[in-house]
Amino acid sequence: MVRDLLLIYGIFAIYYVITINTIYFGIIMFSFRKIFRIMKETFYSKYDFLSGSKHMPPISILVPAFNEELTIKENVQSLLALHYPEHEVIVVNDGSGDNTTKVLIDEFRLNYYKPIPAEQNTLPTAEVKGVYYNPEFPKLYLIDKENGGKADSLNVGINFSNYPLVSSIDADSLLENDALIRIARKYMENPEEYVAIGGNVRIANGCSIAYGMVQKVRLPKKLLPMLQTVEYVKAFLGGRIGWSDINGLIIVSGAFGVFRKDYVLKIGGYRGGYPGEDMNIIMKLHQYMLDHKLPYKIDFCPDAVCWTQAPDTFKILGSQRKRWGRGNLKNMLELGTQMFMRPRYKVMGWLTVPYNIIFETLSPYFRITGFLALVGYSLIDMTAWNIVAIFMLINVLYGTLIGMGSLLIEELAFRRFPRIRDYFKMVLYTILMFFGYRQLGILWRFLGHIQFFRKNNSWGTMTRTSWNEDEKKEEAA
Amino acid sequence: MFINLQAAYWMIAVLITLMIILMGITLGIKVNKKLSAKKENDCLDDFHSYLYYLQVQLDNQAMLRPPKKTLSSFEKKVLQNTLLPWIERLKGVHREKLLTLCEDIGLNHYNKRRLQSPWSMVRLDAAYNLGILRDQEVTSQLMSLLYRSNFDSSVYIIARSIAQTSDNPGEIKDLVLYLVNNGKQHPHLIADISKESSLDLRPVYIQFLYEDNSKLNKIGLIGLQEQVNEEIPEIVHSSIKSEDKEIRMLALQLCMSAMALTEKDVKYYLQFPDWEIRNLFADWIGYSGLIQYTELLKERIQDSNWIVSRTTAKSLAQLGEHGFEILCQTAAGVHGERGRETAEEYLKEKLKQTIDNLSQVEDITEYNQKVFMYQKYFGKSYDLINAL
Repeated sequence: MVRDLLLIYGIFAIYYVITINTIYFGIIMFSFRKIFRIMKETFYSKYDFLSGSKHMPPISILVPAFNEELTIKENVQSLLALHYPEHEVIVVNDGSGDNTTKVLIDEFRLNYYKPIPAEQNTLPTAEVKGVYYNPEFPKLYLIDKENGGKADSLNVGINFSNYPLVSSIDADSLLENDALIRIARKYMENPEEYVAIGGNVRIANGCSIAYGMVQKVRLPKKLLPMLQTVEYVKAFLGGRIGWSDINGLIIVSGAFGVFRKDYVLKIGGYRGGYPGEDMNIIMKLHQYMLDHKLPYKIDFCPDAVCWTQAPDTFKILGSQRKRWGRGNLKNMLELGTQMFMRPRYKVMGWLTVPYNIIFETLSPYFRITGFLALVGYSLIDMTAWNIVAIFMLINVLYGTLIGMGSLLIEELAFRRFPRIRDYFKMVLYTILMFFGYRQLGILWRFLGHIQFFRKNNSWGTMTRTSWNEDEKKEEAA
Repeated sequence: MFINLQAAYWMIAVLITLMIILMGITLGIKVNKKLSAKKENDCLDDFHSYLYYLQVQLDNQAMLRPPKKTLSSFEKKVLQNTLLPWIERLKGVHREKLLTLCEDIGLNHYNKRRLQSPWSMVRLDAAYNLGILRDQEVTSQLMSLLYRSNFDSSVYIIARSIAQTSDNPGEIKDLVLYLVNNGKQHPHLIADISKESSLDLRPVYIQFLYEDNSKLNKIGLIGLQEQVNEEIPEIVHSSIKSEDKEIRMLALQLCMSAMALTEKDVKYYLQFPDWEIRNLFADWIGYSGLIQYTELLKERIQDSNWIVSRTTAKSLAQLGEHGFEILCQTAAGVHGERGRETAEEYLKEKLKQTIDNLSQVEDITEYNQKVFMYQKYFGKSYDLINAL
């Protein structure tokens, strides 16, 4: 009896995973539907000319920085070198304990000015200590403030910004020269309805970087960054293109996104106190626009690329994934429950939020218990081992198929990894992902939930390394 | 029971088949791209001396000769990939010579044929190329392609080609009307597309100002900003009073660029309720070096809006001796507390800039005047030494 129950529950959990893959398969079909439109935009829009056009909207780039002394210089250099007609870069130092401020002051010879007057503030934030500026770099501002978290730093940047569009960029990321102009072009085609547009985040580990720009694209050499590379390609190209096609995007990555400032102000800016502020702001935007019956779009621009450092140790990756788990749970409890199966929230209410609650937030519980059921079953009796093995194989094949679909999208429209051996390496890691990495991800998410319920809201381990760290180590060896 | 192993085996077979297909397609694309790139490089090597000839002959008066041999479609494509970026970068006689050469090579004909392709990607590619080739014969075909296309990003690519090829302002007007009536784009995007045309579109823009549609009004106002040497139409002055804030701003920008404003107007707009307009005027006075309006900025540096106050301080720093003196007075608190810190900040910045740029006798004189002025209000303070 117990044996049958364990087997039935184990098979249920496997069906659960097959359902996730089937929904993902449907989403990737939407991605394929949209990719030909994206290819036309990517190949035939005259970005060189647009980047010199005075008709492009000015954008404020916000860079929240907390203990970023190793990467901040290259990051700001890359932002100042962007091919864009009118933009400002606002770095917000969130009470760093390291030399983040000093690195920037020395590099750009910034002078201290008094705090910005209170009347300009529209969002409540932690205390601003002062602004640093050098007229020789008229696009750059450094705001020094008391520690208040990433969301708080972004809100300070929004208060200080002078332009109608704001872009959030992580301090450990590098934007490609034309990333902003690509998003701005999309925005110009429908400025009334685009409230947020996300960029494509790629893993920079393994690439060679100079002067704040990725010079040569290469796959990472280490295991964890490599697994994250294929994971990101699948999530961004396979997933987000499809979700954006049905206006059901639930997140614009905090690493790079552009927002309409007026709507960000209307929803009260970023929510602090918890991680997952990037998902939260998108959910709030959906909710606000649908509550007010305003036409809107939240889109994804895969050709606007931001390169980021992927964690390369289990400890740092675990911290990141636990944080994501906490953020996701908080957002689902806070906003997801309000939108779940509510007709007024359309695609969000019927598909995106239910998918996220049932298949993302709750997945650790079904997967872990399902796995334990199968382990228990095999300890009691293994007569139906072939059933378990076949269903597990289906899951691996299904997941690999979706990964390969994403690699095809990559090849059709972007071709960042043209070498044939790179393709085989990526396929290999797509398969490898199902043997340990995925399971670890589920476990970390579960531990994140435990942290949430125990009200442990620390940021966790986050050690930055400078760009080209791999190359430097090789040279030293 | 709910387990059907037969179905599971079928599913595995389907999944493996799909994986093989996907891998086949992806590898096929990769191999194809590699072979094409190699073939293209070989072809470019063959054309090496011809391309060198073109570069040398561009500056001479003689026409550019097409290659002697009959070109295959692939060779035409390779030459096109090289010559079209040249055309985009060059202007005037050089561009005209290259356009004639492309016509002689048969690139126009080649792309016109591709415009009839059943594949939308090929048609779009052909439209894009014909736009760069400025082929005036295809404008009507491009127009019908535009009307047939789904209204997505490709519409704007075709629209640019129409603007590049058209020899009739009426067609550009039709194009703009079509985009405005069917799209939701920013007026600046349409203005940017219209700018691709080499025609005089002033009459079209003026017609737009008289339309009831605010989007057309904006496009008209943006378009006219490019031609400020001409007289400003009377209707622009009434647009300044428009209820639409963007129209008001655009009309004012146009009047400012054309210097079609009186001192009374400037005074009025420097006190306008919208901070954006006050800011616009404060900024304009500074970067245009309109020293006659320096005195009017005295009040604006004390503006309740932080941005206006900073812009005014920046402008005052650009307005010579009198502007600098007003900054000194404000920083010394002669006019009250408001704006004092901002004035002080720009004062130091200006002094620092002046000392950094010292290179000629006039610069030294200017610097000495500023230091003299500064010391008149602040004495020989350490603040100044710190600032420098």
